[in-house]
Amino acid sequence: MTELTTLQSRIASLTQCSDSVSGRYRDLMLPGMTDGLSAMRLEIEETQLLRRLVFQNDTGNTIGIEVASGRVLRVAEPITHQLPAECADLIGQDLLEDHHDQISAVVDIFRNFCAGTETLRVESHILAEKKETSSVGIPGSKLCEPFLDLAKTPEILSGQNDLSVFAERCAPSATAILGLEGDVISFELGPDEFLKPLRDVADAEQAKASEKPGTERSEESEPNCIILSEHPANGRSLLRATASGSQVFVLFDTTALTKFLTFWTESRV
Amino acid sequence: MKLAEKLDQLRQKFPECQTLAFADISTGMVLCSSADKNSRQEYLDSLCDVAVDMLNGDSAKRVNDAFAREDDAGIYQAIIIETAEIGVFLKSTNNPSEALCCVCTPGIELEALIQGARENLDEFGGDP
Repeated sequence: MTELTTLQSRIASLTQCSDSVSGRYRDLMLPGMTDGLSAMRLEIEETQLLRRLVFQNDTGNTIGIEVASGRVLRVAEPITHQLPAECADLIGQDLLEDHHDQISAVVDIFRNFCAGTETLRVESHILAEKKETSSVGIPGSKLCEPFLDLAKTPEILSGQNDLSVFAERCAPSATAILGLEGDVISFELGPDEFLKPLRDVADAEQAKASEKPGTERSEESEPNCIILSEHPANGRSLLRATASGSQVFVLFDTTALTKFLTFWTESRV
Repeated sequence: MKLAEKLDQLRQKFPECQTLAFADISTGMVLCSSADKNSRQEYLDSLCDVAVDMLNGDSAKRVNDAFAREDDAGIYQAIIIETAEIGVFLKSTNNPSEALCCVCTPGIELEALIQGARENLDEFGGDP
């Protein structure tokens, strides 16, 4: 949930950009923001919907990336800033986990891009149904975005891991679904009342796995799927699929068991 | 018909089912088994351990908490799908201390097996 101070700064940004027209950049270096890297990361972290963000620094260099829910999905055009060879490492990185070693490449690239920057601008394109609509500043309808978390459909990161196809097929039939990449939640979908227990189960499974010796953990890298169901008269099931360090937890109605078994079988072929 | 014969009969109906074990999961003991080749006791014991964990143990408790039923009804069915084999563990609705453990090849028709095994399990108790 966006903090109130962030929301206020965004409202201030909107006021500043009230004369913006489509296709123009808006300034990220708002009053009180002295660090370009922080401004850039804040912009990415705050992005909930799938967007293409094009950043432009002091020297006119640009770097385009597609992001969703604080996660860099891919590098996108236009790019005039020289990216290191490892720029592929940007893909799938979660800016909210910037303390973790795995995103050091992201931080390095952005730090380099923002070095010495006094002005930093961004152009935001909302990507929906393969059509692009340019958005400058913050549309009025987006002001209430931080309060609509439950109504959003989070992006399931296609092609990001071995379970993506399975998760995408499960999602429409699931009561709730949650994905983990390593220890990090990569997506979740469903009412919070069902997501919370899924998170609890995921946490408990992680804690249990961390207690096991390394050899046993490595054995879990083989894909497997476990489905536990309650009394036939009640009829709910919880599925946990594991593959290559990724996990998907699905809560569903047991009457749909065949469907989920088929999803798993077909995703393994 | 004795329990052992019932297990054999069920396994004949589902040839992909390699091992069937009827267990008391309150004590963690396999009471009777049927398999296409002799199973070592250690294997049957480990099968029973999995059944206990999935249906009555820590795994069952964690998932049951997720269901958030006020009556704490418990887990009655567990399916473990791995690359080489599939395990099905069913807890009796008549006597929750009794369970059936099935180890099958991936070609098994799971829903048919579950339905058949469930019908048999709820009749098993009483004559091991």
